[in-house]
Amino acid sequence: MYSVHATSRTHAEDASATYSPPCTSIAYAQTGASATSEIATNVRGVISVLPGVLSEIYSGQPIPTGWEGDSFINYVWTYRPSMAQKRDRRTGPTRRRVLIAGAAAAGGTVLGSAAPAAAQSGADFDGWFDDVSNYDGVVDRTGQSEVTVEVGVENGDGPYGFGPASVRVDPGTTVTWEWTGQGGSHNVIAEEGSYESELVAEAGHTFSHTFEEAGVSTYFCQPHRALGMKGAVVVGDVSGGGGSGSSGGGDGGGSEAESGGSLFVPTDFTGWFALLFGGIMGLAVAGVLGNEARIAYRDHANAEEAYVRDAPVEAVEEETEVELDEEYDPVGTAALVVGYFVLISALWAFMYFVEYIGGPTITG
Amino acid sequence: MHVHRFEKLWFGASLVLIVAFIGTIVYGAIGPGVAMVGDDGGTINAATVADGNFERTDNFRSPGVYESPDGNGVDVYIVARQYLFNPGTAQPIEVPRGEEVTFHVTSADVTHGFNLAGTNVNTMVIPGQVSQFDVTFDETGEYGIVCHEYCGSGHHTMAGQLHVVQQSQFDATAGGDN
Repeated sequence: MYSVHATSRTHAEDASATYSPPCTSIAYAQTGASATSEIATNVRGVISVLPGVLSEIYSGQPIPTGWEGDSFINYVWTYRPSMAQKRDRRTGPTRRRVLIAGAAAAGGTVLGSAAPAAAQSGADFDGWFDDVSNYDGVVDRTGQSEVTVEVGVENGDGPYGFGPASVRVDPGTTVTWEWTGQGGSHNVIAEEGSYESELVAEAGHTFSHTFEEAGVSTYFCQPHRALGMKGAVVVGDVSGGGGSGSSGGGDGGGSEAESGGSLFVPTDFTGWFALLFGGIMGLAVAGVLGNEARIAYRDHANAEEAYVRDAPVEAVEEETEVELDEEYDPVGTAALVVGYFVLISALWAFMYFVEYIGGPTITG
Repeated sequence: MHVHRFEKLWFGASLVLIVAFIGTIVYGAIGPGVAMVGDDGGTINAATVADGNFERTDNFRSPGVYESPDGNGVDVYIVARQYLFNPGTAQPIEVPRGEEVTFHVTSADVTHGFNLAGTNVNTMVIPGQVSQFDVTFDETGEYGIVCHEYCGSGHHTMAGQLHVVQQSQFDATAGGDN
């Protein structure tokens, strides 16, 4: 019935939305950062927020005017990036408040503060756009029979992007990629292989593909894939799941669910493996060092004991005669010389004949 | 002067080692005929390469594989640019077995490298300079081409493929731009 949407590109951004009572649901969407996060609010328990999906924070009875006294919903956002994302993104819970401001707007029904197109994108790309810096939500191009996407637009690291990176089109729409001529040679290759363009550099070159069936088609430029030159075409009204969880009405105190332990509890296989491996290695090292320390201490104790015991005795030991020649072992020295010689010869033979002359060779 | 016999042994071993090293180099040059990449490829205007105006040059052709003008072996013209080999990256280069393959490699932008992984077919690719060298492949197989000179943020992705095929399978459909 009546609802309000708040949108935030990243977890670090404030989001606010206005509503006018009676309002029956509040939903939140994260359009920029691509990891799953969790929101704990004081009106409901912890809910997960998937990127690009509208998640309901509150749904139920109309919110009365002046609700919660100060018209704020407190929430704590716990961000759970993957191992790779941890390197360059902030972690840990962020405390924010969604401003649910007063009832000024007369008769207004839905007042979102940010672009609804992005909020409604709904498609879940499974991390496809994690390293695509010019991805800014799915651009709605429905209702057009022909859609143009530029190949070779600035993505923050050079002209290695598709513009726009992601478009939503109707089934039966022909998407035409047009080369800008920037960034050298590009091509357009569907990840599942249904279409593939030539590798060309000239500005003005075009490549077209008609998308008949609804679905999400991801594509990339082969030479620049690692630079984040990736895109997607969302055909039809495809929406990702999520946002429909009904964990019952949470009560107050949920806002303090900081889940501080999340830093040390792994969430995926790599994390568990690292924890297990690191733990075993740590124990092994500790064991070896501990044993060494124990032996050293025991020897030291024995030596001290012996010293104390023998100290008063005046030891007169015969000087053993040491001849210089006995320290000099000719066989050992010769063996060393021969050993080094063999080693160097073997390395040279390996280097020159095995590595260098093996296989095809540049001949003059 | 008295020289200890172990010192003499060490001197002798060193001399044998040096003679052996020089001997292997001489053998490589005379026996298998290993050569260095020289400057006989000539120079080329890098802007011409970048714009693809190969008709303006006489020592480079549009990237691809061609029958040699003298009817002996094939010529392969390769342009390296950020971050691909053309041809090589988008489609494998195909050359015949047992024939002399003359590579002509140049760059459209910055300095690149050209190496057939696991072999000593290896050269720098310098803008403005054509690296030219001959290779004869005695066996069929597939080689990876890698760029081994840091050329930018996509350097680690810059790679290609070279396939050596039987002469009967080789189809000199000449290159042209791809």
